[in-house]
Amino acid sequence: MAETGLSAHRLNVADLSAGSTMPERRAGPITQEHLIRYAGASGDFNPFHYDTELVRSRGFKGVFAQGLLTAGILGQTLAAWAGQDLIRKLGVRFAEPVWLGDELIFRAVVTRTYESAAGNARADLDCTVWSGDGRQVLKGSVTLGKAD
Amino acid sequence: MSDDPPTLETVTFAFPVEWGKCRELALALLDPDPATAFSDVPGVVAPALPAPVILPVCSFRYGPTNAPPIVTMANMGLVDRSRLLQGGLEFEFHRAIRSGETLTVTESLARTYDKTTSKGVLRFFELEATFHTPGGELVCTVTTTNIERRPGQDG
Repeated sequence: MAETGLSAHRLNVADLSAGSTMPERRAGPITQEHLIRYAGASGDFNPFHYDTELVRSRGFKGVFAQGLLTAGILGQTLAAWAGQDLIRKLGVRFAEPVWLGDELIFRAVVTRTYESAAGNARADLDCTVWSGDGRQVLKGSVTLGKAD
Repeated sequence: MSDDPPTLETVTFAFPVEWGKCRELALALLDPDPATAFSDVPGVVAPALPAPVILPVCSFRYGPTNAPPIVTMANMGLVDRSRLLQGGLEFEFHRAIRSGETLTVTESLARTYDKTTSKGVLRFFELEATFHTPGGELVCTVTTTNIERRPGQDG
């Protein structure tokens, strides 16, 4: 199974095969500062990410990270590994909240390789993000390959 | 608030992909390759940056309401923002977006449906945004799913 390094920017999709993996990446622990920086950069000021009283009144144990913060870190991790120009599709589903203090672990594994209609190499990967305590917080998929 | 599924008018606006916004968002997203902001020449800033993968979802800041469509719907009283959760997103890129270009965004409410779960009824909103160049080239499509927990399902 091929292993390639982060920030290579020279990934050749044709070299990937089922079972190839992106190098695991760890980030965090996530702090309120991460949430504030992301809120300022993105404009996502949903009170669930800063108003403890509100989220507790809605049944949550505390504020949690914006889902797109986790998805965005995944996106930049994939881009650093594969090169941004190779990202054709990215889909994410938010499975569990990311709480303050959670470390995040990013993984991706190739499930299928094939050629596009124009003959460009393509690879589909399953992506997952886990908390340090073993909860899967995000599940997704990405398709890599040159644009047709 | 009515139980009928709400509707939302389609909105189109210009989205300038700014260098500083790309840099700011990349840093907030813990980009493992922050040196992409600088060229190989010491002290010279790269003329264009690849936009962070999720940048398209931030385009609302250039729209008429300065809010994501789902928040606009909340501000119009069509959904209860305090009961909203993000379900997921799908991005499709025909090419990478780079700072310095201006795209045209078209936002629409593509689909609304209810699902009955063990915890009650959840309402799903699928919002679609397409990004075109001034010449009409489709660059990217983003589909966002938001979920509203209907009243009576707290905790």
